[in-house]
Amino acid sequence: MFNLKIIKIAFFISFLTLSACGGGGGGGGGAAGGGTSYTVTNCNDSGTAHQDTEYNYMSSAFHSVKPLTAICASAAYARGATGDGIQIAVMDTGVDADHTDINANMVAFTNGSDVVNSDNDASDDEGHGSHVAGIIAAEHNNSGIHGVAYDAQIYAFKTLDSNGDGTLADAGTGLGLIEAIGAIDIINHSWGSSGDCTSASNCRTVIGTAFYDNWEDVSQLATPKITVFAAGNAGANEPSPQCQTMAYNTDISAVSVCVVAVSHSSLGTDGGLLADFSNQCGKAADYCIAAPGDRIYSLTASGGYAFKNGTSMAAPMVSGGLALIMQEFSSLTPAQVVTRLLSTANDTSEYSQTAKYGHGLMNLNGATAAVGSLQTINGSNLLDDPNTSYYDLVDNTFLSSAAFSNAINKALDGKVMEVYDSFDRANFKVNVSDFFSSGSYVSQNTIENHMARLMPKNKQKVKHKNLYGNFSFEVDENFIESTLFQSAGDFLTLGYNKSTNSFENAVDPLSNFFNDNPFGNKYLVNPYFYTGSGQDYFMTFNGNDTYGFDTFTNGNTSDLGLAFNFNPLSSTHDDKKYVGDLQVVLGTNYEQNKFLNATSTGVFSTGDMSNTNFTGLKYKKNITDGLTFVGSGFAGYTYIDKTKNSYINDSTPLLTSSFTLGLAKSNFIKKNQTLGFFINQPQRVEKGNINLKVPTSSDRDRTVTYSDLIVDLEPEARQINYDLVFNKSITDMSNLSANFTHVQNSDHASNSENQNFISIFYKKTF
Amino acid sequence: MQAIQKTKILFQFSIKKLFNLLFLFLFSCSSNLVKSEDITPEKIICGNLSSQLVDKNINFISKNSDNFEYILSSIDKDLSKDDFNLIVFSGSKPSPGYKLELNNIKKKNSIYHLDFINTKPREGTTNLAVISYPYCVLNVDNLNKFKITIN
Repeated sequence: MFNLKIIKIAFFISFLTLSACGGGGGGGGGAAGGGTSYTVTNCNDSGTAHQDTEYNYMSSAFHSVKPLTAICASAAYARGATGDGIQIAVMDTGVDADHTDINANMVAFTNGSDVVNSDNDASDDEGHGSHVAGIIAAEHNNSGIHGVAYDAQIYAFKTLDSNGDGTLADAGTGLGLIEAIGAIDIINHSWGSSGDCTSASNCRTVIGTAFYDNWEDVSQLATPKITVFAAGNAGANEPSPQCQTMAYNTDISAVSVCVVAVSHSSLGTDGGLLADFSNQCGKAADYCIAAPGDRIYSLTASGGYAFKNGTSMAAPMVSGGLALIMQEFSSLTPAQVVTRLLSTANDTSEYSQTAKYGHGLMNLNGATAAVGSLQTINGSNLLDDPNTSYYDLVDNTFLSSAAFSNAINKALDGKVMEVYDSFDRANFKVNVSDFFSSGSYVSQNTIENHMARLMPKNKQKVKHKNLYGNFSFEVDENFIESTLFQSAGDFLTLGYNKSTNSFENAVDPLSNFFNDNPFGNKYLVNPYFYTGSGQDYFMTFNGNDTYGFDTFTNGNTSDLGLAFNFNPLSSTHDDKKYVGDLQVVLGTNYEQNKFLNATSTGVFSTGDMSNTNFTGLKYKKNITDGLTFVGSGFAGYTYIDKTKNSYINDSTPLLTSSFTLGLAKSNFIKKNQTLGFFINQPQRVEKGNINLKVPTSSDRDRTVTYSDLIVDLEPEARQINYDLVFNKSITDMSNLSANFTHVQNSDHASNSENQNFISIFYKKTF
Repeated sequence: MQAIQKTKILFQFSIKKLFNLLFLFLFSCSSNLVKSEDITPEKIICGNLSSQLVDKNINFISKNSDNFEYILSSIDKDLSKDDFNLIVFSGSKPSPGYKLELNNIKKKNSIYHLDFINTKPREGTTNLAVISYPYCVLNVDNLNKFKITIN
């Protein structure tokens, strides 16, 4: 019979025996604890983008920081990286391919995949391989756990037996099988052998010639396979000889990573420090990185889950991380994927100890974010070609004209293109529309625009401005005040002004209707002379009543316009007094680095000489005494001048139109009162498109594929403005003006809300 | 004088003998003074665990321990407590390549001396890089008082 007393005796005897004999049994290993606790500041990984129960896997109550949080996985997931399309070979004890948490990500066992038993069934009879495979690619299926790269695919190769043991020869054979499968991108090795090596040839002997040679081969394929090795668990200063080999063979080291383990477990080293069992990076530091490997929860071979410790668990974390990077950036070669992983690791503070941690703790936030600045490619489709140039994103802009902004917004909605970071030209997707901003006609009707008409022409200083309350300003020695109110959704303006300054005539938009100049009002201007960019210069030559011409240029001389005006009908001729005034306009306009007043820079640039040929008709007739009809219509064809290497690759001529119809009544009800009603369609593209050629994909051979993006510039709707204008001259020095504008389909967009603007102005000149 | 010399030599010889005996007694791991009996376990299964089932300082669990059955089933759910009475651990090892093996069991003065050895991975083998916990589960008849040695 056993009893407690006997057990105590047995303990005592055992202790004495070991002491006396110097025996090495009992305990050993285990968590030593101690050391300075290090607070992980690896990344700002709030997990908000990926908070599910599975995200907390690999964790337990013992973890101060969850393993996936420690490597910033959620940031990568938020960017869409899941490992999809990446194939990873797990050379291990096999994998339980029927485990419900990974079966969907398993590739069918390949011929000879069970090297140990020389058959095709690489099922797991030990459990280790399933655990490793789960860390890489367990499914994200709302049960159990999920892997770091939960959409990656796993190839299983069994080179270690049911006891976890294998031979160097079998390892070489297994790697030979993997070498023959072109689809495999990454090979995970959560195993090693004993010994050290001191040169390439020595390493070849130590790790086995077959394995060494095959490793060299897979590293030198046209598309090399990335190799990940566990550093080993002896708690030594140097990693396994497989990791040491990386220090002596540059072909291998270019696409290989050695992984040491850190612990976030209170039962282990904790605090993100190197796990007490983990070997250090040692001579492989240049190719080494750290990842969580202490008490990691993953799959077993019997359909369940278990915790395991070791660099065996850290290595698949890194294999999964590499898969995320590889999927996220199709433009990177395998060697660049490795370099990016290493370069973006957290190497601050504790992790700055190169001999221990190599490049530091894996950081999938940094690895999947832009390193350096994001840039557009220009000049070729080869990422590394010396003729290829790059523009920072801010240097690529397109400010579209309201004549087609609706169409371009619609056409570009959901369209993406590639840009590249300045570090290694990793490719990022951005919305094409991010570079485009819309010009708007609505701004013509904004309250600020209305109020701007009240502003004196000399220098002024805005003292206080509030769109939702009072609006006032003062000018040196002149006092001007206005009051502004805004109603919800629509604008109501009440303005009061007194000043010794003169105001722009636009305060009274009807002022030119009844003067001697038949076409001098704002409703009949030439829409192809794009005023408002600063200083506008007009020159008008009238040969006689029947013809003349106008020239236009703006302050920066980017526009040059010329219009011939023919007046076949003129009311100034006594014999045609009642037929009204008719003007026919024929003209052309050249725009520098823009078209239809749409400006662009960088990869969206246009040439120096975009040209519009236009024609127009203006007509004015006094129907009865005091009742005047006005009408004008313009149409033009614009030819975009393409520039070298611009994404605006081609275009058809753009047909544009605009028109105004209106009636104005003087002496409306009372003398000195006028009323006008106008219907106006601002400039609109009626037909035409541009062909954008934008980079949409890139391959590991560093070539970029451009795709055509044909953008029909005709907007979906037609903006019509209804303008009702009233003006009353109270005295010679004071004037009251009211304006109601109703805008339908603003900016030619069908989904825009109708807009109403009401303005009332009173002007008094002292 | 000769007798004194003989006595002296005899004394020195005796002293030397005594020292030798004392040395053997003190520094021998196994007693040469007590006749020992080799014991063969009824059953023994050795292997590796990848999970730590007991505290690192605990080297064995005997059948009368409360958690014996739980530990046994954690090792292998098919193992029955009726078939075994002792589980021996040798702590954590860098890989499953480290094995725990029974060297011998000797019974001396009603105390069972269980001698285990740790073996390292063989040269030229590959081993998983997972922390492992070697163990042996065994059944030794009449195991009552015992001491365990692990080398």
